[in-house]
Amino acid sequence: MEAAPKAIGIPMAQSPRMQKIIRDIRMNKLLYLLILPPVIYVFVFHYIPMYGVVMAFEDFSFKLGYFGSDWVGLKHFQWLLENPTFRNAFANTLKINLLRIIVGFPAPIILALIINEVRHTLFKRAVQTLSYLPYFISWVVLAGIFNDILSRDYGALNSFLVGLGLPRIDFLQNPTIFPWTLVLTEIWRTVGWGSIIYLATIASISPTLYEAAEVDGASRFQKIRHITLPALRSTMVILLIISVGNVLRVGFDQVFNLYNPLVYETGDIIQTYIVRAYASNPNFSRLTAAGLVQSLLGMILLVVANEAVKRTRDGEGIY
Amino acid sequence: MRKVPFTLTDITIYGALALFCVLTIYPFWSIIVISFSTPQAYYGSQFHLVPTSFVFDAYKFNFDNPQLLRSFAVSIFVTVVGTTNSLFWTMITGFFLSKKGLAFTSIVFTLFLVTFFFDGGLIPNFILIRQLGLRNSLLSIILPFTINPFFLILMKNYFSNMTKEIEEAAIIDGAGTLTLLFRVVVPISKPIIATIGLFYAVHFWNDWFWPMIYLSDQKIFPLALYLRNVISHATSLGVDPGVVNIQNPATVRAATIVITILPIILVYPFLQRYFVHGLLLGSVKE
Amino acid sequence: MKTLFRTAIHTIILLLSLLALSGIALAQDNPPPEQIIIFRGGVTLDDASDPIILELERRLNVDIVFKTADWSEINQVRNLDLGAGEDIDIYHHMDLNPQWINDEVIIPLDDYITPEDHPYLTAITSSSTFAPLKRDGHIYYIPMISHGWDWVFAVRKDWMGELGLEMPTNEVEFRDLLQAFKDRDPDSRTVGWQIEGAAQVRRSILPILTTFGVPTSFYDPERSFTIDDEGTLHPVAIGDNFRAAMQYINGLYNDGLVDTDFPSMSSMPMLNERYFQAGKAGVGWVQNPANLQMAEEGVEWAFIPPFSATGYEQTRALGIANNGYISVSATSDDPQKAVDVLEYLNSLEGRQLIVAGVQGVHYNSFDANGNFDRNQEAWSATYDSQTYPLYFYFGQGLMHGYIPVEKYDTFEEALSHTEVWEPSPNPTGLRDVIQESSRWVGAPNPFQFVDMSEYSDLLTELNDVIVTGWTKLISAEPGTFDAAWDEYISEWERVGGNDWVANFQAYYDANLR
Repeated sequence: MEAAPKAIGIPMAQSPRMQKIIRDIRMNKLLYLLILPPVIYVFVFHYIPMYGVVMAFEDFSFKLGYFGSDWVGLKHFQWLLENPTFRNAFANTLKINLLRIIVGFPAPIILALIINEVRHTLFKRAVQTLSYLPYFISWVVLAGIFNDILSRDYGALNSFLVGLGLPRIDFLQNPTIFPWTLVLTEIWRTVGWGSIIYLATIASISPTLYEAAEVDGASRFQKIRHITLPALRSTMVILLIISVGNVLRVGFDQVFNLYNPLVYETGDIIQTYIVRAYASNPNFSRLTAAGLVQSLLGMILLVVANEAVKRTRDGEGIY
Repeated sequence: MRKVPFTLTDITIYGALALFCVLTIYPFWSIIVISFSTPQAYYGSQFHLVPTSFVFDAYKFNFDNPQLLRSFAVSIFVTVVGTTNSLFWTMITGFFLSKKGLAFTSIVFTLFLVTFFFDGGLIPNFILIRQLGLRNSLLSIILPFTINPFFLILMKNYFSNMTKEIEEAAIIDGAGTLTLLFRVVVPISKPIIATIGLFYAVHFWNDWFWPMIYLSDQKIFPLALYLRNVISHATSLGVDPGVVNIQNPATVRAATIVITILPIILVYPFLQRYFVHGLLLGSVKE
Repeated sequence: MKTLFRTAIHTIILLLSLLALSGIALAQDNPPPEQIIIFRGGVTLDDASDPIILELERRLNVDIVFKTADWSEINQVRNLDLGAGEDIDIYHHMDLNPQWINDEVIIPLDDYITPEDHPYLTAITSSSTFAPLKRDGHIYYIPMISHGWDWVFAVRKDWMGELGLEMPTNEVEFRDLLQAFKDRDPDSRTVGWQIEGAAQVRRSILPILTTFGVPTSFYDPERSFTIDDEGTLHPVAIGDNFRAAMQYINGLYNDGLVDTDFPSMSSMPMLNERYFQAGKAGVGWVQNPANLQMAEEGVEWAFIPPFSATGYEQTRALGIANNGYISVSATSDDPQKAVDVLEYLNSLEGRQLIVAGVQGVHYNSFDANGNFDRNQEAWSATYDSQTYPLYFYFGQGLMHGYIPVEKYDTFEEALSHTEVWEPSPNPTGLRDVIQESSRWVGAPNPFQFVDMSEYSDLLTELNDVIVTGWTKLISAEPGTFDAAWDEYISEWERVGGNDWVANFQAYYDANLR
């Protein structure tokens, strides 16, 4: 703050900055009135619970509350990081999500490219409409369905494989295969939805570019490689950050509804670990600490991804 | 447009997409077939492609249960009220944030942005809900989800991209804030409103985890929680002896699933045409 | 345009005030003094309209309210409620977590239980069987007990007749029975023997474990020991008998005689019964064998009497199987009233009400054999396959009966003379079940209630090892059982299984030797 205008008799409100703010509020009274409830909301429902994470550094008891419980510093974090079950969940969280991004990221692009090659508008529209649908169905429902379809002996998919003379695949019970089951079913659910933006971007490419390429005798694949894909680049980057940033917040519903003890070693993630632990050994502080580890990890990933993109895209991140 | 001959590549493409459609629709189709099956038909088939029987037993079983109807009503209520509430406040906030030259825009934006990264976790949220006296009230599964920061960013970006048109319109009108929002912004923002509205609606319709934590009265369990209970009927170490139930668990489960996803499937076609525009403009920063 | 704008505003105001109103209506949370709030998992009945509850409320002058959670999340929700001090008087627990005693979340009941007013609670809490349940000599938990039909297999007797099979008397004949049932089904999808979902695997394999001489109950395999002549404890869960039993089950699994999807079924308590009812299971562990005959006319079932595997001696399962514990919470406004309600539910009068219903409505009289004339119409007007009566939640294994504590000196004696009531003309068949299976119930496990609160972290991991390890042992591919066993043992040791055992050894040396 500037020290200069501190003479008596000049109230703070008279400083040019304050004046500006007051004028701003006066001019946009209604707007500020309207923004008041959301601000109160975000304080009450987000910031107060955020303060609650202090319990991760305490031996929290409901009776003593946030302020009365004993402060234990990093004890719970230390316990977690030394605990093999949590470490396993931590590693799985990263592994499954990495797999999800590596395999899941190109899928909607490929789908968009294929759909774009369709010339019958009606067929195209039908495919698109259908492809978005699974995105809106919850994992509770989908787990109910997939448990049937992927069942080892009588599941439709395994019956199909056996019919073709192929061996059965233990989708839900084999620890090596289970992460792939998670990734593939997630792709099944989101690929159509993910292709929307790509399709829209493709639609906005000027047709003259393609026509020019055709005149030059470019093949279909050459056109995709040299025109479509470059045009999709910036969209890809945005969607990649979003998926990196979302890495740790998605997946709970899916894993929780699909996993079983046979695949804990590769399928257990931080959130499922937490929810299981609430049942057997409810150490509230420790579990809040586990949640905090997850939040921090997610935050670091999102910030890193966003910064990385800002560097490469002239300062344009998603926020 | 010129006629282009149908090549082998085209055949491959159409074939691949047809297969894709089959893969997308099959799980839903099979569950519908199962829901109308007799136990014998269910066990007799592995693919459930063609209905070999058509009975309403599983549906009758479900609809005989007053809890299903109650849960259905609760879900409708929570979804309608929750979506309206969320959409309204997300719009107001998004509109505020999209206005340039306001003194507090960036502070408010930061306030919401932080919530995108950071969350108190289950226990702090549970304590808050308890202290507000919302435990076992439907408000506990509506209010905390009023503004989703991600949807807010989409909304804000969309409005920002509209700024020019909005301002032009405002100049012509000399309109007040509310008039501007509802007369100018809303009509041209249908795509983003439809998209985010559906997002919110789907959240409220599908959420089972928070209802499970916050609600303890079976009568106000929403449908998603009811469904989860049907699907995963597990006991911890319980040995409660069952009471007579001669229904086949698989067909009943299938019928419950169909009942749960039906509303989404019914609403979805009306909104899906807005997705493209809404998402496209929302995800691009001005 | 203006109308649109106005309509939009009006709609929003209307909806918001609706929201506010509904909030006020739903958030009202002001219990009258005599309200008794009970936490019990999986409650589906309506406490405001259920005729039995209404009658109970009238008799005791209370207002009973149920708070519930789904079976699969009972413990999570209960822990949150307990921890947060929810306004709940009575809790039903599936496990004993000493944390709640240490944090004074649940209260000692000694002062509220008097021999004059509470004969049942006095008898059960002073019984030697449940003595270890006390903490520092105080009563915190009241056990809910059941009889042990849950450790014998039920079998479709009519199928056996059809195929000319005899009751199996050893493990080979049992295997042959499963095979014959499987072959019998035209689509060969008979679930010969359904093992419950992974997390529950311990209870549905119990009949095999006892066959191979493993003394345990499904509640506490980690607390089951054999004691040798020197007084050394040997945990059964890593013993040779257990290994043999698991190897046998693994063989059945690889021969397709066990439902291979069991690990990914998130354990449905009634699944076996439903498989029986759908005509898809012939042998199985079931929750309530009385339900088996409900499927279709002419279905006959029986228990497979316990047999010994070749080279082994059959053992009895440990313990009076229990169905959890009841506690009264520190937030209760009137613990005495809560205890009175619990006593009443176990009294002769109370049990008649919750088992048979309201006299004059659901039944008229009991005969000397304990049969009551059920008015089927009135009964099924309220209770069907989805609405379970109160006895389902507060009766458990003895749900059709009464323990005549006033007639015997000890609770154990009274228990062995449990009266079983049955409705006529449609008996449940439960009397036979309870009486027959009761013959096979063994002595209680002396270690069942030992306080191991210091080891709660270890126990959590040990339970994971058991659940995962057992599932892996059963589903090991041919030729890999030995490797799976070695992995299981090394996991057991890794999480500190030996420390765990040492602690019980210390308890044994100090208290039981």
